[in-house]
Amino acid sequence: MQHLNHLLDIWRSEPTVASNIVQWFVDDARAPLIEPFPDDMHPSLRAALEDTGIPSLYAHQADAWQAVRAGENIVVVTETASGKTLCYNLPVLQAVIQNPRARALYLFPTKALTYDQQQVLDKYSAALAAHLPSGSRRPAAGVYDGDTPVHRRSTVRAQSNVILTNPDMLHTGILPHHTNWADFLRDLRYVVIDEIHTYRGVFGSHVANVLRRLKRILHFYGADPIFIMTSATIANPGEHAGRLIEAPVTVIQRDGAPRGARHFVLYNPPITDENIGIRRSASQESIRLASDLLTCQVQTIVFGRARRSVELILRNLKHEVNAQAEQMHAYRSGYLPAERRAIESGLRSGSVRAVVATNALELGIDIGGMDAVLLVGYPGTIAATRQQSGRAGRRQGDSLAVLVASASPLDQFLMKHPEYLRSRSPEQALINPDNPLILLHHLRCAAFEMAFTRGERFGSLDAQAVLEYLKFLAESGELHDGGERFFWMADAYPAAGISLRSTSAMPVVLQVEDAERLTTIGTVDLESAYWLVHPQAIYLHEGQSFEVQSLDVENSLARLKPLETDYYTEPQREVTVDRISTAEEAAVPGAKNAWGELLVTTQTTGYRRIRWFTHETLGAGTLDLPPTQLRTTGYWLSISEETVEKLRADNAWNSDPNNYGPNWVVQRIRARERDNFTCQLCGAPEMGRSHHVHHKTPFRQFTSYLIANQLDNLITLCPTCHRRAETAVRIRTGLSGLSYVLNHLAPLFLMCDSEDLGGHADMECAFENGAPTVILYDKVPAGIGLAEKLYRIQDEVLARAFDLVSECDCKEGCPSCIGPAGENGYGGKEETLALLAALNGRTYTRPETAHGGSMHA
Amino acid sequence: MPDSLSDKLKALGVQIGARGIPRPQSPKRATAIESIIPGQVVATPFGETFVSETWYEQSYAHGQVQFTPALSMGILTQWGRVPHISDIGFHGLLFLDTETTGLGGGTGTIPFLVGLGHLTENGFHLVQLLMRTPQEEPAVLYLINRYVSQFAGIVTYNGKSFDIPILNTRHVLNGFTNPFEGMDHIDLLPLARRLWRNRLPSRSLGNLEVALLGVARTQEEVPGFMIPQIYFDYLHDGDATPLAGVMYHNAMDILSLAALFQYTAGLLEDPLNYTIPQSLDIVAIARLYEELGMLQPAIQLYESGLSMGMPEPIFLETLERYATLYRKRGEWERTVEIWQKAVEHHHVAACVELAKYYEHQCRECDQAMQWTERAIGMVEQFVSGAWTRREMLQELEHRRERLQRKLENQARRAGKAPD
Repeated sequence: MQHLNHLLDIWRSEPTVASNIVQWFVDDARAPLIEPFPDDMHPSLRAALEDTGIPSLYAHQADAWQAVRAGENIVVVTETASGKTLCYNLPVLQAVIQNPRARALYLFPTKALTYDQQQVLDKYSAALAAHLPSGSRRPAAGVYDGDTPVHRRSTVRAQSNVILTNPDMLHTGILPHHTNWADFLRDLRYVVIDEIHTYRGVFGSHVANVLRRLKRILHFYGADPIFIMTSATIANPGEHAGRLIEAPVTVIQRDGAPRGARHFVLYNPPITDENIGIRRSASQESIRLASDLLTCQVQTIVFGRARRSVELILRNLKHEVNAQAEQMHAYRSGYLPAERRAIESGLRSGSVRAVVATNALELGIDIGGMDAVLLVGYPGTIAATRQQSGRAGRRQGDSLAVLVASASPLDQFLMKHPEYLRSRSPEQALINPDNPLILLHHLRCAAFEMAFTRGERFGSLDAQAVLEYLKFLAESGELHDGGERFFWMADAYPAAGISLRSTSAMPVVLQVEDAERLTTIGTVDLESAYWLVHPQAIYLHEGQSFEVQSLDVENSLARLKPLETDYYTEPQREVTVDRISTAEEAAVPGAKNAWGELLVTTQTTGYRRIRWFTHETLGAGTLDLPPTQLRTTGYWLSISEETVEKLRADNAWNSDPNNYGPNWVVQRIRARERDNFTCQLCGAPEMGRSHHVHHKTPFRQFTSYLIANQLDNLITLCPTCHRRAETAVRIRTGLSGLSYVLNHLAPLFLMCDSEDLGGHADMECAFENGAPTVILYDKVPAGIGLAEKLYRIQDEVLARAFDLVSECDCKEGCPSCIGPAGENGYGGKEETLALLAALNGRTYTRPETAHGGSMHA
Repeated sequence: MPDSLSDKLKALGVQIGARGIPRPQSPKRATAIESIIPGQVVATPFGETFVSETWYEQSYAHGQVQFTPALSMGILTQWGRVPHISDIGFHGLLFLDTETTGLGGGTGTIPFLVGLGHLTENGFHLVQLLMRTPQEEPAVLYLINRYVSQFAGIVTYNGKSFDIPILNTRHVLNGFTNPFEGMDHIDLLPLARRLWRNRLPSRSLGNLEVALLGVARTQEEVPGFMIPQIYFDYLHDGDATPLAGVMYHNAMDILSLAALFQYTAGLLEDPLNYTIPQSLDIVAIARLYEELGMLQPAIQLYESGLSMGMPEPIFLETLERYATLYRKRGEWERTVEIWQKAVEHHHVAACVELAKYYEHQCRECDQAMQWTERAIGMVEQFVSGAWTRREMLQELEHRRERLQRKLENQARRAGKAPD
């Protein structure tokens, strides 16, 4: 550990590092909180624990024991590597010792975790064997998932006390064949659900329904097991666990595990261009810090965000620290289990010095404690940040976790507000098991598993609601309404038709034509297909670029061809939002907010080709693709007329039509003449109607109309290209700035990706009497609860949005606050701030040094 | 909410019915089963269901098969690992086949029609239990249990992986004890696959009954894949008329199953005389005999089969097995004879076997070398597939080099010996 402390001293005194460190926390070492073995623990179990080097329990393990023994469902919320697994393994082992027929079902979100936990159970079982009366069978644990060979399955079912599997297998492999599991289910005493914070959003809403199905089948077999869950730290573990299993849950969080001193460092890469707020990349800075750590003999995990960046970082790191190149590995999905096991044991033994990993390593896998962890960019949730940084930390000795920020708004926000990473998490795991589409799928599966009786409930869904769905399914011919009972009556296996990890039943398959052969390289969901793989789009996969030849939506097929290019494509979308109904609305300072059902119509109308690195537009194309409709729930905020008036009076509302000055008519004609009456983007000539003339640098940024209307600032564009050019400008108004910042900040509270939320700024919102409105909608059809939650916490989100924008170091808006400034440098940051101030009920005075007239001389 | 659940789901993109085609709104006039199919409604403690019974007199011939109660089935039951059934005889067996609402299996598949047949002194007796609605399932299961308990074993076609697991599931779901658990069960499908894999294009029961039993179904027949939909339509519109075809299909399946059982049992007992012998059937049975440990009869069958002629690849494959049978018994002389015969048919593997034989058994390296070189010469001409050719040649070159070394060593030793 002196290596680590030595390096930390160097960093403190090295200006090129120290100046980028925005926060440095030190958590002192903590002694364990110990409880003796409970009196009612079986002597054999106690002896077995002692044999494996466990002389007593930590506080949370003892609390879990008491609660479970009292028949309570629990969720254990403690840190990474705090010995959470004993919280469920102990009651399960005790049950099996007392009754060898007792069974338990363990659900893990990943297969890797499943195999890891089987080994843990085997270890305890082996230790236990020595203390059980001779002739008695020791507890058996078996993995039952898609990789279990078919000929082994009945043996695993019959002989395992503990079945370890995942929700997907429960959904497609176990429940639809539950009669094969009759003996297992009859004796099921415990259901363990590990890492429940991963069961949120669409996945969580599916899993909640799979659990409804499980409980329904268990009821048939007369079993009523206790649920033992674990979760990373989130704001609402008890509520979330309770929504998942639809029963009361006791939260266990008296973390008794000891730990050494921990350094937690927030590192913000230096700004390289102040005007547009460009920072050094998080990867580059991380490679530099990791090199220092490795040179000082500090064992390190680097967490990257994507598979591709992981390989890239590893390559550079090997180059930097050549001497240890053989002791560095990547760890990500797509590696064979054997490769992963070798890396894991290398980490434990110390022979592996550095691993560059995706979040595949984040969940639970036992690799022992690391000296140091580097997070390349905020991993997307606070829970993941804590889990990844929790990988650093030994029971004794110092450890280090560094979060290297990227340019994204959330990363930058957290650099200024580390309290969110440190104290109580604001993250709410949200699920909506009653999402009609998700629910419909699972009711079909449930009907397949066992006929529904009229008047039957489904989880917390009341009988009347269930009946409506059953009637719908009977009408559509999948169920037979037999009066008292509804029978599955279709030659189909409904569980096979729906993946728990998406709502899209028919993904578009991406096929590449090689010489004579078709290879499938991946899939995208239908909603994204028009956007990601429209004809002529450049699609990136594993660092290779492909050009889309055709998109056949009817057959869910996109044809791609490898194409080396120096450009990428950026689709142009037109979004319109209609309201179906309002669920709730309220007046708030400066505006009205609401949530309800929306219909979002999106059409990809064209695309631009943009050169890598320089970002110059090389050309554009139009597309003739049908619009797609998304019926979902959304949150919206309509700016009141008074607010607009006030902002306008303060010159902070800039979306009004411009008066281009007295020479405009003449300059306009001159520009068209110069450009040969031809659109300078797509080349279309004028056809009976004048083309538009566009200001390259927006008119309102100039103090003099004479300068603004100079010919070299003007360009002739056809109406279509002009609209597209204006779309790029519109982001810089206050309203679109607000939309951008909310879209990127809300995930901090909703525990989702910014990709899960759609953002739309409508200057004249039809359903709000033309009021300027910002709309954030759930991208999942019918929604999974994001909109309603946003409505409830909007004050907090708007306050934090103001902080984020006002504290950003950029001048005119940047990717880290209100969105990327365009080529022209003008960002609309002041307008966004003025608007946010109004919405927060506070006054805002623009600084003296607001963009002056000298900027565009 | 102004719109109904149905409108809402449609707006969310849910398609109604198969491929979005709405089902007909006005059902046809209901036609009751009793008026279409001879049979009666039977009451049980678990409710009513519909039972149709049919008698086929002793003189009834199913295709070319007339049922013979005194059937020898020693070898068939030995293959099925239920030798004691042989003593109980044809009468003790229940022939079972189900028609279901789907072919995928799982808890959502309902066996709406269960056919049970057995041979009596007065002819073949068929009982068909039909659920007029899925609610009648408990009654059907009750009747099955009562019926099945009278028999020593069951015979099915693919029943081990389909019909019986489905019936087991239905018993669990309805809280009945399972009558099939531990019951002797002969599934003819795997046997049919073994016997007719090479000779017949398909081993479906429908194909075997035409090819082997000479059965021709009438116009009443409906193809199996249509059956679930016919039942769904019947449940929906109440018109039982098309169910007659399903009943016919099921009856024919059971009769063909029993006839195939008799045919196969007879064929296995006396393959050369039961019917006009087919060389491919004979060698398939030879192989089965071999596995049952009946080596002498197996050898006879191999010889008879090989003498009748058959397609070249199967001929060679059979020669190889035949030779192996002798080799295992240590009868080298006969083994070599067969291999040599195979070499005449350009069988490279036999050449290799001979090379091995001379190298390791006789320690005659020069002979072994001759066979190896002959094999190398044959590979180019008689082995198809570039990869296989390369692999074979590599192995043969390896063998040749080794033999070359041995021969040189021998020569050296021979040269030194006179000193």
